[in-house]
Amino acid sequence: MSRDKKRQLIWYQIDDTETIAHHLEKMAAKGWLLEEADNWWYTYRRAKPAQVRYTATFFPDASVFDAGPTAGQETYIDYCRAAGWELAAVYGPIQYFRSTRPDPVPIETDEAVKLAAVRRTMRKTFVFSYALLLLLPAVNLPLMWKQFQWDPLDFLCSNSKLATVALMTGIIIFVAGMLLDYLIWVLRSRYSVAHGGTCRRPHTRFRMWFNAGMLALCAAVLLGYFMNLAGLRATLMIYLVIYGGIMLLSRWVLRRLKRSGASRGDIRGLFIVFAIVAGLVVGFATPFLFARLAGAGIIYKDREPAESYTYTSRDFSFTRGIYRDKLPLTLEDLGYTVTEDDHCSYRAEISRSPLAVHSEYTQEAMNLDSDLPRLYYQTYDSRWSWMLEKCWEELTRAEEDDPWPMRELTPAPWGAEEACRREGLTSYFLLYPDRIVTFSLGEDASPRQLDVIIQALQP
Amino acid sequence: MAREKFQTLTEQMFYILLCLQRECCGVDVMDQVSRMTEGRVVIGPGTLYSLLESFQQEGFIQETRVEGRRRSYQITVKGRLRLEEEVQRLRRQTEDYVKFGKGAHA
Repeated sequence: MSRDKKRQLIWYQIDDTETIAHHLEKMAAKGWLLEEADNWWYTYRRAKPAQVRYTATFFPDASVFDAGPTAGQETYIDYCRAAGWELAAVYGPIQYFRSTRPDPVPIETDEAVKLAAVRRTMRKTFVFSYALLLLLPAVNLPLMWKQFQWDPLDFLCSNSKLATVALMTGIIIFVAGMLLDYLIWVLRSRYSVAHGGTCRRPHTRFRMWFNAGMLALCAAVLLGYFMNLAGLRATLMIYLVIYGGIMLLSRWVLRRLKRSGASRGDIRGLFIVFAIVAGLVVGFATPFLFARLAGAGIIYKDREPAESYTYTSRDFSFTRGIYRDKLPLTLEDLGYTVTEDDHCSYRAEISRSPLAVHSEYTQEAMNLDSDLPRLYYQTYDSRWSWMLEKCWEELTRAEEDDPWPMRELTPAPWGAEEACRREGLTSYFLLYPDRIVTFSLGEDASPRQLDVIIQALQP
Repeated sequence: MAREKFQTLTEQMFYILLCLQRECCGVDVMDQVSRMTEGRVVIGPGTLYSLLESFQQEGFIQETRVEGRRRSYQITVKGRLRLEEEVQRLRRQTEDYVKFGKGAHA
Protein backbone atom coordinates (compact mmCIF):
# COMPACT_ATOMS: atom_id res chain seq x y z
CA MET A 1 0.00 0.00 0.00
CA SER A 2 1.48 3.34 -1.08
CA ARG A 3 1.87 6.33 1.23
CA ASP A 4 -1.11 7.96 -0.43
CA LYS A 5 -3.40 5.08 0.43
CA LYS A 6 -4.49 3.76 3.76
CA ARG A 7 -6.56 0.80 4.89
CA GLN A 8 -8.62 0.44 8.01
CA LEU A 9 -10.42 -2.55 9.40
CA ILE A 10 -14.17 -1.97 9.68
CA TRP A 11 -15.27 -2.31 13.28
CA TYR A 12 -18.75 -0.85 12.89
CA GLN A 13 -22.00 -2.66 12.36
CA ILE A 14 -23.44 -1.71 8.99
CA ASP A 15 -26.64 -0.24 10.38
CA ASP A 16 -24.76 2.14 12.66
CA THR A 17 -24.69 4.75 9.93
CA GLU A 18 -24.28 7.76 12.22
CA THR A 19 -21.12 6.39 13.84
CA ILE A 20 -19.76 5.38 10.43
CA ALA A 21 -20.42 8.85 9.01
CA HIS A 22 -18.83 10.51 12.03
CA HIS A 23 -15.74 8.32 11.67
CA LEU A 24 -15.39 9.05 7.95
CA GLU A 25 -15.76 12.78 8.62
CA LYS A 26 -12.96 12.61 11.17
CA MET A 27 -10.76 10.79 8.64
CA ALA A 28 -11.51 13.46 6.01
CA ALA A 29 -10.52 16.16 8.50
CA LYS A 30 -7.21 14.33 8.90
CA GLY A 31 -6.73 14.26 5.13
CA TRP A 32 -8.03 10.80 4.24
CA LEU A 33 -10.97 10.45 1.84
CA LEU A 34 -12.87 7.20 1.56
CA GLU A 35 -12.17 5.56 -1.78
CA GLU A 36 -13.34 1.97 -1.43
CA ALA A 37 -15.23 -0.16 1.05
CA ASP A 38 -15.95 -3.83 1.39
CA ASN A 39 -17.08 -5.99 4.27
CA TRP A 40 -13.64 -5.87 5.97
CA TRP A 41 -11.82 -2.73 4.98
CA TYR A 42 -12.14 0.94 4.25
CA THR A 43 -9.54 2.16 1.76
CA TYR A 44 -8.70 5.86 1.87
CA ARG A 45 -6.70 8.11 -0.40
CA ARG A 46 -4.70 11.05 0.83
CA ALA A 47 -6.26 14.45 0.20
CA LYS A 48 -6.18 17.94 1.60
CA PRO A 49 -7.74 17.94 5.09
CA ALA A 50 -11.28 19.25 4.71
CA GLN A 51 -14.63 19.50 6.42
CA VAL A 52 -16.59 16.89 4.49
CA ARG A 53 -20.02 15.53 5.38
CA TYR A 54 -20.51 11.78 5.02
CA THR A 55 -23.58 9.62 5.09
CA ALA A 56 -24.09 5.88 4.68
CA THR A 57 -27.37 4.75 3.14
CA PHE A 58 -28.96 1.51 2.10
CA PHE A 59 -30.10 0.37 -1.30
CA PRO A 60 -31.78 -2.96 -0.50
CA ASP A 61 -32.05 -4.16 -4.10
CA ALA A 62 -28.27 -4.13 -4.60
CA SER A 63 -26.12 -7.12 -3.83
CA VAL A 64 -22.45 -7.78 -3.09
CA PHE A 65 -22.55 -9.97 -6.21
CA ASP A 66 -23.34 -7.02 -8.50
CA ALA A 67 -20.54 -6.22 -10.94
CA GLY A 68 -21.50 -2.54 -10.69
CA PRO A 69 -24.39 -0.32 -9.67
CA THR A 70 -27.75 -1.57 -10.93
CA ALA A 71 -29.92 0.68 -13.13
CA GLY A 72 -32.02 1.66 -10.13
CA GLN A 73 -28.93 2.30 -8.07
CA GLU A 74 -27.54 4.59 -10.77
CA THR A 75 -30.76 6.59 -10.69
CA TYR A 76 -30.50 6.78 -6.89
CA ILE A 77 -26.89 7.99 -7.21
CA ASP A 78 -27.99 10.61 -9.78
CA TYR A 79 -30.64 11.94 -7.40
CA CYS A 80 -28.02 12.15 -4.66
CA ARG A 81 -25.60 13.96 -6.98
CA ALA A 82 -28.32 16.48 -7.82
CA ALA A 83 -28.72 17.07 -4.08
CA GLY A 84 -24.99 17.65 -3.65
CA TRP A 85 -23.93 14.17 -2.54
CA GLU A 86 -21.06 12.48 -4.36
CA LEU A 87 -20.76 8.70 -4.22
CA ALA A 88 -17.59 7.83 -2.30
CA ALA A 89 -17.82 4.05 -2.20
CA VAL A 90 -20.34 1.29 -2.54
CA TYR A 91 -20.35 -2.26 -1.26
CA GLY A 92 -23.46 -4.24 -2.15
CA PRO A 93 -26.45 -2.50 -0.61
CA ILE A 94 -24.37 -0.05 1.46
CA GLN A 95 -23.52 3.23 -0.17
CA TYR A 96 -21.22 5.91 1.20
CA PHE A 97 -21.80 9.48 0.04
CA ARG A 98 -19.91 12.65 0.82
CA SER A 99 -20.71 16.28 0.37
CA THR A 100 -18.58 19.38 0.61
CA ARG A 101 -21.66 21.58 1.14
CA PRO A 102 -21.86 22.86 4.70
CA ASP A 103 -25.48 21.86 5.19
CA PRO A 104 -26.64 19.48 2.46
CA VAL A 105 -30.17 18.10 2.30
CA PRO A 106 -30.12 14.75 4.11
CA ILE A 107 -30.44 11.78 1.76
CA GLU A 108 -33.21 10.31 3.88
CA THR A 109 -35.88 12.77 4.98
CA ASP A 110 -38.62 10.30 5.86
CA GLU A 111 -37.84 8.12 8.85
CA ALA A 112 -40.44 5.49 7.95
CA VAL A 113 -38.96 5.11 4.46
CA LYS A 114 -35.46 5.00 5.94
CA LEU A 115 -36.45 2.34 8.49
CA ALA A 116 -38.02 0.20 5.75
CA ALA A 117 -34.81 0.41 3.67
CA VAL A 118 -32.63 -0.46 6.68
CA ARG A 119 -34.82 -3.41 7.60
CA ARG A 120 -34.90 -4.79 4.06
CA THR A 121 -31.14 -4.50 3.78
CA MET A 122 -30.50 -5.96 7.22
CA ARG A 123 -32.75 -8.93 6.50
CA LYS A 124 -30.73 -9.71 3.37
CA THR A 125 -27.29 -9.15 4.87
CA PHE A 126 -27.00 -9.08 8.65
CA VAL A 127 -29.86 -11.40 9.62
CA PHE A 128 -29.20 -13.83 6.76
CA SER A 129 -25.46 -14.12 7.42
CA TYR A 130 -25.90 -14.52 11.17
CA ALA A 131 -28.57 -17.14 10.64
CA LEU A 132 -26.16 -18.89 8.26
CA LEU A 133 -23.50 -18.80 10.97
CA LEU A 134 -25.83 -20.85 13.15
CA LEU A 135 -25.35 -23.74 10.71
CA LEU A 136 -21.91 -24.31 12.25
CA PRO A 137 -23.19 -25.19 15.74
CA ALA A 138 -26.26 -26.86 14.23
CA VAL A 139 -23.97 -29.33 12.45
CA ASN A 140 -21.14 -29.53 14.99
CA LEU A 141 -22.99 -29.86 18.29
CA PRO A 142 -24.98 -33.01 17.35
CA LEU A 143 -21.70 -34.52 16.06
CA MET A 144 -20.03 -33.65 19.35
CA TRP A 145 -22.90 -35.22 21.27
CA LYS A 146 -22.49 -38.42 19.23
CA GLN A 147 -18.78 -38.41 20.04
CA PHE A 148 -19.53 -37.89 23.71
CA GLN A 149 -21.88 -40.86 23.67
CA TRP A 150 -19.30 -42.94 21.80
CA ASP A 151 -16.47 -42.29 24.26
CA PRO A 152 -17.46 -39.94 27.08
CA LEU A 153 -14.18 -40.19 28.97
CA ASP A 154 -12.11 -39.37 25.94
CA PHE A 155 -14.46 -36.47 25.25
CA LEU A 156 -14.07 -35.09 28.75
CA CYS A 157 -10.29 -35.04 28.42
CA SER A 158 -10.08 -33.92 24.80
CA ASN A 159 -9.10 -30.29 24.55
CA SER A 160 -9.94 -30.18 20.86
CA LYS A 161 -13.49 -31.46 21.40
CA LEU A 162 -14.08 -29.26 24.43
CA ALA A 163 -12.72 -26.28 22.49
CA THR A 164 -15.12 -27.09 19.65
CA VAL A 165 -18.07 -27.24 22.04
CA ALA A 166 -16.99 -23.96 23.69
CA LEU A 167 -16.61 -22.27 20.30
CA MET A 168 -19.94 -23.53 19.03
CA THR A 169 -21.67 -22.42 22.23
CA GLY A 170 -19.92 -19.07 21.87
CA ILE A 171 -21.25 -18.73 18.32
CA ILE A 172 -24.81 -19.44 19.49
CA ILE A 173 -24.53 -16.83 22.26
CA PHE A 174 -22.94 -14.34 19.87
CA VAL A 175 -25.54 -14.77 17.13
CA ALA A 176 -28.41 -14.75 19.64
CA GLY A 177 -27.02 -11.60 21.24
CA MET A 178 -26.58 -9.78 17.94
CA LEU A 179 -29.98 -10.78 16.56
CA LEU A 180 -31.72 -9.92 19.82
CA ASP A 181 -30.00 -6.54 19.88
CA TYR A 182 -31.11 -5.91 16.28
CA LEU A 183 -34.67 -7.00 17.08
CA ILE A 184 -34.79 -4.61 20.02
CA TRP A 185 -33.50 -1.84 17.75
CA VAL A 186 -36.23 -2.57 15.17
CA LEU A 187 -38.98 -2.55 17.79
CA ARG A 188 -37.76 0.67 19.40
CA SER A 189 -37.30 2.36 16.02
CA ARG A 190 -40.72 1.28 14.81
CA TYR A 191 -42.30 2.66 17.94
CA SER A 192 -40.34 5.89 17.66
CA VAL A 193 -41.13 6.40 13.95
CA ALA A 194 -44.81 5.57 14.45
CA HIS A 195 -44.93 8.36 17.03
CA GLY A 196 -43.25 10.90 14.80
CA GLY A 197 -39.71 10.31 16.04
CA THR A 198 -36.56 9.13 14.31
CA CYS A 199 -34.94 5.72 13.95
CA ARG A 200 -33.08 4.89 17.16
CA ARG A 201 -29.32 4.70 17.20
CA PRO A 202 -28.07 1.12 17.42
CA HIS A 203 -26.31 0.05 20.63
CA THR A 204 -22.86 0.66 19.18
CA ARG A 205 -20.96 0.47 22.44
CA PHE A 206 -22.76 -2.69 23.51
CA ARG A 207 -22.08 -4.31 20.14
CA MET A 208 -18.40 -3.35 20.17
CA TRP A 209 -17.90 -4.73 23.67
CA PHE A 210 -19.94 -7.78 22.86
CA ASN A 211 -17.95 -8.39 19.67
CA ALA A 212 -14.64 -7.78 21.43
CA GLY A 213 -15.67 -10.02 24.34
CA MET A 214 -16.69 -12.86 22.06
CA LEU A 215 -13.53 -12.50 19.96
CA ALA A 216 -11.40 -12.56 23.11
CA LEU A 217 -13.27 -15.63 24.33
CA CYS A 218 -12.75 -17.44 21.02
CA ALA A 219 -9.07 -16.45 21.00
CA ALA A 220 -8.65 -17.68 24.58
CA VAL A 221 -10.35 -20.98 23.78
CA LEU A 222 -8.24 -21.53 20.66
CA LEU A 223 -5.03 -20.48 22.37
CA GLY A 224 -5.81 -22.67 25.37
CA TYR A 225 -6.31 -25.54 22.97
CA PHE A 226 -3.21 -24.90 20.89
CA MET A 227 -1.01 -24.32 23.95
CA ASN A 228 -1.52 -27.95 24.90
CA LEU A 229 -0.40 -29.18 21.52
CA ALA A 230 3.10 -30.12 20.62
CA GLY A 231 4.39 -28.04 17.71
CA LEU A 232 2.29 -25.03 18.71
CA ARG A 233 3.92 -22.65 16.28
CA ALA A 234 3.66 -25.04 13.35
CA THR A 235 -0.01 -25.77 14.08
CA LEU A 236 -0.91 -22.11 14.41
CA MET A 237 0.91 -21.32 11.21
CA ILE A 238 -0.90 -24.07 9.34
CA TYR A 239 -4.31 -22.82 10.49
CA LEU A 240 -3.34 -19.25 9.72
CA VAL A 241 -2.15 -20.16 6.23
CA ILE A 242 -5.17 -22.34 5.45
CA TYR A 243 -7.95 -20.12 6.76
CA GLY A 244 -6.25 -16.80 6.07
CA GLY A 245 -5.45 -18.04 2.57
CA ILE A 246 -9.04 -19.12 1.96
CA MET A 247 -10.39 -15.76 3.08
CA LEU A 248 -7.97 -13.82 0.91
CA LEU A 249 -8.60 -16.15 -2.00
CA SER A 250 -12.38 -15.78 -1.70
CA ARG A 251 -11.99 -11.99 -1.66
CA TRP A 252 -9.80 -12.14 -4.74
CA VAL A 253 -12.17 -14.52 -6.56
CA LEU A 254 -15.17 -12.27 -5.87
CA ARG A 255 -13.30 -9.21 -7.14
CA ARG A 256 -12.23 -11.04 -10.30
CA LEU A 257 -15.77 -12.26 -10.92
CA LYS A 258 -17.12 -8.74 -10.49
CA ARG A 259 -14.53 -7.33 -12.86
CA SER A 260 -15.66 -9.82 -15.50
CA GLY A 261 -18.91 -7.86 -15.70
CA ALA A 262 -21.07 -10.98 -15.49
CA SER A 263 -24.64 -10.84 -14.23
CA ARG A 264 -25.47 -11.01 -10.50
CA GLY A 265 -26.86 -14.52 -10.86
CA ASP A 266 -23.75 -15.80 -12.63
CA ILE A 267 -21.37 -14.20 -10.12
CA ARG A 268 -23.34 -15.56 -7.19
CA GLY A 269 -23.55 -19.03 -8.73
CA LEU A 270 -19.85 -19.17 -9.53
CA PHE A 271 -18.92 -17.87 -6.10
CA ILE A 272 -21.06 -20.52 -4.40
CA VAL A 273 -19.35 -23.18 -6.52
CA PHE A 274 -15.96 -21.77 -5.49
CA ALA A 275 -17.01 -21.74 -1.80
CA ILE A 276 -18.17 -25.38 -1.96
CA VAL A 277 -14.98 -26.51 -3.72
CA ALA A 278 -12.79 -24.53 -1.32
CA GLY A 279 -14.68 -25.98 1.65
CA LEU A 280 -14.25 -29.53 0.35
CA VAL A 281 -10.55 -29.02 -0.40
CA VAL A 282 -9.92 -27.58 3.08
CA GLY A 283 -12.06 -30.28 4.69
CA PHE A 284 -10.16 -33.09 3.03
CA ALA A 285 -6.71 -31.52 2.81
CA THR A 286 -6.42 -30.40 6.45
CA PRO A 287 -6.48 -33.86 8.09
CA PHE A 288 -4.20 -35.17 5.34
CA LEU A 289 -1.74 -32.32 5.87
CA PHE A 290 -1.77 -32.78 9.64
CA ALA A 291 -1.24 -36.52 9.27
CA ARG A 292 1.76 -35.90 7.00
CA LEU A 293 3.22 -33.33 9.37
CA ALA A 294 2.62 -35.57 12.35
CA GLY A 295 4.33 -38.40 10.48
CA ALA A 296 7.30 -36.14 9.82
CA GLY A 297 7.44 -35.30 13.53
CA ILE A 298 6.73 -31.60 12.98
CA ILE A 299 3.54 -31.59 15.01
CA TYR A 300 2.21 -33.96 17.66
CA LYS A 301 5.75 -35.05 18.29
CA ASP A 302 6.04 -38.15 20.47
CA ARG A 303 8.03 -37.85 23.68
CA GLU A 304 11.64 -39.05 23.43
CA PRO A 305 12.10 -42.42 25.17
CA ALA A 306 14.83 -42.99 27.76
CA GLU A 307 16.43 -45.64 25.56
CA SER A 308 15.57 -47.86 22.68
CA TYR A 309 15.57 -51.59 22.33
CA THR A 310 15.88 -53.66 19.19
CA TYR A 311 14.19 -57.02 19.23
CA THR A 312 15.60 -59.50 16.77
CA SER A 313 14.23 -62.89 15.86
CA ARG A 314 14.97 -65.17 12.95
CA ASP A 315 12.16 -63.68 10.89
CA PHE A 316 12.08 -60.01 11.79
CA SER A 317 13.42 -57.30 13.99
CA PHE A 318 12.06 -53.98 15.24
CA THR A 319 13.19 -51.15 17.43
CA ARG A 320 10.98 -49.58 20.07
CA GLY A 321 11.45 -46.91 22.70
CA ILE A 322 11.69 -47.79 26.37
CA TYR A 323 10.31 -45.31 28.90
CA ARG A 324 11.26 -45.17 32.55
CA ASP A 325 8.36 -43.18 33.98
CA LYS A 326 7.17 -43.60 37.53
CA LEU A 327 3.92 -45.58 37.61
CA PRO A 328 1.53 -45.79 40.59
CA LEU A 329 1.10 -49.50 39.93
CA THR A 330 3.60 -51.89 38.36
CA LEU A 331 3.79 -55.54 37.48
CA GLU A 332 6.33 -55.84 40.29
CA ASP A 333 3.66 -54.58 42.76
CA LEU A 334 1.41 -57.34 41.47
CA GLY A 335 4.02 -60.01 42.26
CA TYR A 336 5.55 -60.49 38.84
CA THR A 337 9.30 -60.84 38.54
CA VAL A 338 10.67 -58.40 36.02
CA THR A 339 14.20 -58.90 34.76
CA GLU A 340 16.47 -56.79 32.59
CA ASP A 341 16.00 -59.30 29.79
CA ASP A 342 12.33 -58.34 29.60
CA HIS A 343 13.30 -54.80 28.55
CA CYS A 344 10.21 -53.43 30.23
CA SER A 345 8.92 -50.01 29.32
CA TYR A 346 7.11 -47.92 31.98
CA ARG A 347 5.14 -45.23 30.28
CA ALA A 348 2.89 -42.61 31.83
CA GLU A 349 1.03 -40.10 29.65
CA ILE A 350 -0.93 -37.42 31.40
CA SER A 351 -3.17 -34.97 29.56
CA ARG A 352 -5.25 -32.23 31.08
CA SER A 353 -8.37 -30.49 29.96
CA PRO A 354 -10.29 -27.84 31.89
CA LEU A 355 -12.72 -30.55 32.98
CA ALA A 356 -10.57 -33.57 33.74
CA VAL A 357 -7.11 -35.10 34.00
CA HIS A 358 -6.50 -38.21 32.01
CA SER A 359 -3.62 -40.45 33.07
CA GLU A 360 -2.68 -43.41 30.93
CA TYR A 361 -0.16 -45.95 32.21
CA THR A 362 1.38 -48.85 30.35
CA GLN A 363 3.95 -51.38 31.42
CA GLU A 364 4.96 -53.92 28.83
CA ALA A 365 7.92 -56.05 27.92
CA MET A 366 9.54 -55.06 24.65
CA ASN A 367 11.18 -58.43 24.43
CA LEU A 368 8.53 -60.51 22.71
CA ASP A 369 9.94 -63.66 24.25
CA SER A 370 9.02 -62.42 27.72
CA ASP A 371 6.13 -64.09 29.58
CA LEU A 372 5.08 -60.90 31.33
CA PRO A 373 1.50 -59.73 30.74
CA ARG A 374 0.81 -56.22 29.52
CA LEU A 375 -0.40 -53.92 32.27
CA TYR A 376 -2.54 -51.07 31.05
CA TYR A 377 -4.69 -48.76 33.13
CA GLN A 378 -6.16 -45.30 32.97
CA THR A 379 -7.54 -42.88 35.51
CA TYR A 380 -9.87 -39.98 34.80
CA ASP A 381 -10.03 -37.39 37.57
CA SER A 382 -12.53 -34.59 37.70
CA ARG A 383 -13.74 -32.22 40.38
CA TRP A 384 -17.22 -32.43 38.89
CA SER A 385 -18.45 -35.83 40.02
CA TRP A 386 -21.79 -35.39 38.24
CA MET A 387 -19.87 -35.22 35.00
CA LEU A 388 -18.07 -38.46 35.78
CA GLU A 389 -21.40 -40.05 36.65
CA LYS A 390 -22.80 -38.96 33.28
CA CYS A 391 -19.72 -40.45 31.60
CA TRP A 392 -20.20 -43.64 33.59
CA GLU A 393 -23.79 -43.90 32.39
CA GLU A 394 -22.67 -43.59 28.77
CA LEU A 395 -19.71 -45.91 29.32
CA THR A 396 -21.75 -48.72 30.84
CA ARG A 397 -24.84 -48.30 28.66
CA ALA A 398 -25.88 -51.71 27.31
CA GLU A 399 -25.55 -51.95 23.53
CA GLU A 400 -27.42 -54.68 21.69
CA ASP A 401 -24.61 -55.71 19.36
CA ASP A 402 -21.76 -55.31 21.89
CA PRO A 403 -19.53 -58.44 21.56
CA TRP A 404 -18.16 -57.80 25.06
CA PRO A 405 -21.13 -56.59 27.08
CA MET A 406 -20.60 -54.93 30.44
CA ARG A 407 -21.31 -57.04 33.52
CA GLU A 408 -21.98 -55.28 36.80
CA LEU A 409 -19.80 -56.29 39.75
CA THR A 410 -20.42 -55.78 43.45
CA PRO A 411 -18.70 -52.44 44.05
CA ALA A 412 -18.01 -52.87 47.80
CA PRO A 413 -14.87 -55.05 47.48
CA TRP A 414 -13.42 -52.39 45.16
CA GLY A 415 -14.17 -49.59 47.56
CA ALA A 416 -15.97 -48.00 44.60
CA GLU A 417 -19.47 -46.64 44.05
CA GLU A 418 -19.92 -48.86 41.02
CA ALA A 419 -17.87 -51.52 39.26
CA CYS A 420 -18.14 -53.33 35.91
CA ARG A 421 -16.21 -55.79 33.84
CA ARG A 422 -16.32 -56.49 30.16
CA GLU A 423 -17.59 -60.00 29.58
CA GLY A 424 -14.91 -62.15 27.97
CA LEU A 425 -12.13 -59.60 28.54
CA THR A 426 -9.92 -58.75 31.48
CA SER A 427 -11.01 -55.08 31.46
CA TYR A 428 -12.38 -53.54 34.64
CA PHE A 429 -14.18 -50.22 35.13
CA LEU A 430 -14.50 -48.59 38.54
CA LEU A 431 -16.37 -45.45 39.52
CA TYR A 432 -15.17 -43.44 42.53
CA PRO A 433 -16.57 -40.05 43.63
CA ASP A 434 -13.92 -38.07 41.71
CA ARG A 435 -12.31 -40.71 39.56
CA ILE A 436 -13.01 -43.38 37.00
CA VAL A 437 -10.47 -46.19 36.70
CA THR A 438 -10.18 -48.61 33.82
CA PHE A 439 -7.56 -51.29 33.76
CA SER A 440 -6.67 -54.49 32.01
CA LEU A 441 -3.98 -56.94 32.95
CA GLY A 442 -3.96 -59.26 29.98
CA GLU A 443 -4.90 -62.15 32.28
CA ASP A 444 -7.29 -62.63 35.18
CA ALA A 445 -6.06 -61.01 38.36
CA SER A 446 -5.91 -62.97 41.61
CA PRO A 447 -7.77 -61.62 44.70
CA ARG A 448 -4.46 -60.47 46.19
CA GLN A 449 -3.55 -58.64 42.99
CA LEU A 450 -6.97 -56.99 42.93
CA ASP A 451 -6.35 -55.72 46.47
CA VAL A 452 -3.08 -54.17 45.32
CA ILE A 453 -4.74 -52.61 42.30
CA ILE A 454 -7.52 -51.08 44.42
CA GLN A 455 -5.04 -49.66 46.91
CA ALA A 456 -2.95 -48.13 44.14
CA LEU A 457 -5.66 -46.71 41.92
CA GLN A 458 -8.50 -45.53 44.13
CA PRO A 459 -8.36 -41.82 44.91
CA MET B 1 -49.56 1.51 16.01
CA ALA B 2 -47.72 1.77 12.68
CA ARG B 3 -49.44 3.80 9.97
CA GLU B 4 -50.87 1.69 7.16
CA LYS B 5 -49.08 2.33 3.88
CA PHE B 6 -50.46 5.44 2.14
CA GLN B 7 -53.52 5.53 4.41
CA THR B 8 -52.54 9.11 4.96
CA LEU B 9 -49.95 10.90 2.84
CA THR B 10 -47.00 12.59 4.44
CA GLU B 11 -46.19 16.08 3.23
CA GLN B 12 -43.39 14.67 1.11
CA MET B 13 -45.70 12.11 -0.51
CA PHE B 14 -48.36 14.75 -1.07
CA TYR B 15 -46.03 17.16 -2.84
CA ILE B 16 -44.40 14.46 -4.98
CA LEU B 17 -47.84 13.47 -6.31
CA LEU B 18 -48.80 17.10 -6.70
CA CYS B 19 -45.64 17.78 -8.64
CA LEU B 20 -46.23 14.81 -10.93
CA GLN B 21 -49.55 16.12 -12.17
CA ARG B 22 -47.36 17.19 -15.02
CA GLU B 23 -44.78 14.85 -16.45
CA CYS B 24 -41.56 15.44 -14.59
CA CYS B 25 -38.13 13.86 -14.39
CA GLY B 26 -37.45 12.24 -11.02
CA VAL B 27 -34.34 14.25 -10.36
CA ASP B 28 -36.25 17.52 -10.90
CA VAL B 29 -38.96 16.67 -8.38
CA MET B 30 -36.73 17.68 -5.45
CA ASP B 31 -36.22 21.20 -6.84
CA GLN B 32 -39.83 21.64 -7.88
CA VAL B 33 -41.18 20.65 -4.48
CA SER B 34 -38.73 22.95 -2.80
CA ARG B 35 -39.84 25.82 -5.09
CA MET B 36 -43.56 25.03 -4.65
CA THR B 37 -43.23 25.13 -0.86
CA GLU B 38 -40.62 27.92 -0.77
CA GLY B 39 -38.19 25.54 0.90
CA ARG B 40 -40.61 24.46 3.65
CA VAL B 41 -40.77 20.86 2.41
CA VAL B 42 -37.46 19.25 1.55
CA ILE B 43 -37.23 15.80 0.03
CA GLY B 44 -33.99 13.91 0.36
CA PRO B 45 -32.83 12.03 -2.77
CA GLY B 46 -32.97 8.64 -1.04
CA THR B 47 -36.50 9.25 0.19
CA LEU B 48 -37.53 10.52 -3.24
CA TYR B 49 -36.20 7.38 -4.95
CA SER B 50 -37.95 5.07 -2.46
CA LEU B 51 -41.25 6.95 -2.67
CA LEU B 52 -41.24 7.04 -6.47
CA GLU B 53 -40.66 3.28 -6.47
CA SER B 54 -43.43 2.69 -3.95
CA PHE B 55 -45.85 4.96 -5.84
CA GLN B 56 -45.08 3.13 -9.04
CA GLN B 57 -45.68 -0.25 -7.39
CA GLU B 58 -48.92 1.06 -5.93
CA GLY B 59 -50.01 2.37 -9.37
CA PHE B 60 -50.14 6.02 -8.24
CA ILE B 61 -47.60 7.09 -10.87
CA GLN B 62 -46.25 5.64 -14.09
CA GLU B 63 -42.96 5.91 -15.88
CA THR B 64 -43.50 7.95 -19.04
CA ARG B 65 -40.06 8.36 -20.52
CA VAL B 66 -36.52 6.98 -20.13
CA GLU B 67 -33.68 9.03 -21.62
CA GLY B 68 -30.42 7.40 -20.62
CA ARG B 69 -30.50 7.47 -16.85
CA ARG B 70 -33.20 10.15 -16.70
CA ARG B 71 -36.60 8.72 -15.93
CA SER B 72 -39.77 10.77 -16.12
CA TYR B 73 -43.02 10.05 -14.30
CA GLN B 74 -46.61 11.24 -14.28
CA ILE B 75 -49.48 10.70 -11.90
CA THR B 76 -52.11 8.07 -12.83
CA VAL B 77 -55.88 8.22 -12.33
CA LYS B 78 -55.47 6.12 -9.19
CA GLY B 79 -52.84 8.53 -7.93
CA ARG B 80 -55.02 11.53 -8.75
CA LEU B 81 -57.89 9.99 -6.77
CA ARG B 82 -55.61 9.30 -3.82
CA LEU B 83 -54.35 12.87 -3.94
CA GLU B 84 -57.93 14.16 -4.11
CA GLU B 85 -58.91 12.01 -1.10
CA GLU B 86 -56.01 13.46 0.82
CA VAL B 87 -57.06 17.00 -0.09
CA GLN B 88 -60.60 16.22 1.10
CA ARG B 89 -59.23 14.85 4.35
CA LEU B 90 -57.12 17.93 4.90
CA ARG B 91 -60.04 20.19 3.98
CA ARG B 92 -62.27 18.43 6.52
CA GLN B 93 -59.54 18.82 9.11
CA THR B 94 -59.34 22.55 8.39
CA GLU B 95 -63.12 22.91 8.49
CA ASP B 96 -63.23 21.08 11.79
CA TYR B 97 -60.60 23.40 13.10
CA VAL B 98 -62.59 26.42 12.04
CA LYS B 99 -65.74 24.94 13.59
CA PHE B 100 -64.31 23.61 16.82
CA GLY B 101 -60.97 25.35 17.22
CA LYS B 102 -60.27 28.10 19.75
CA GLY B 103 -61.11 30.83 17.25
CA ALA B 104 -64.66 29.43 16.75
CA HIS B 105 -65.58 29.93 20.44
CA ALA B 106 -64.05 33.36 20.77
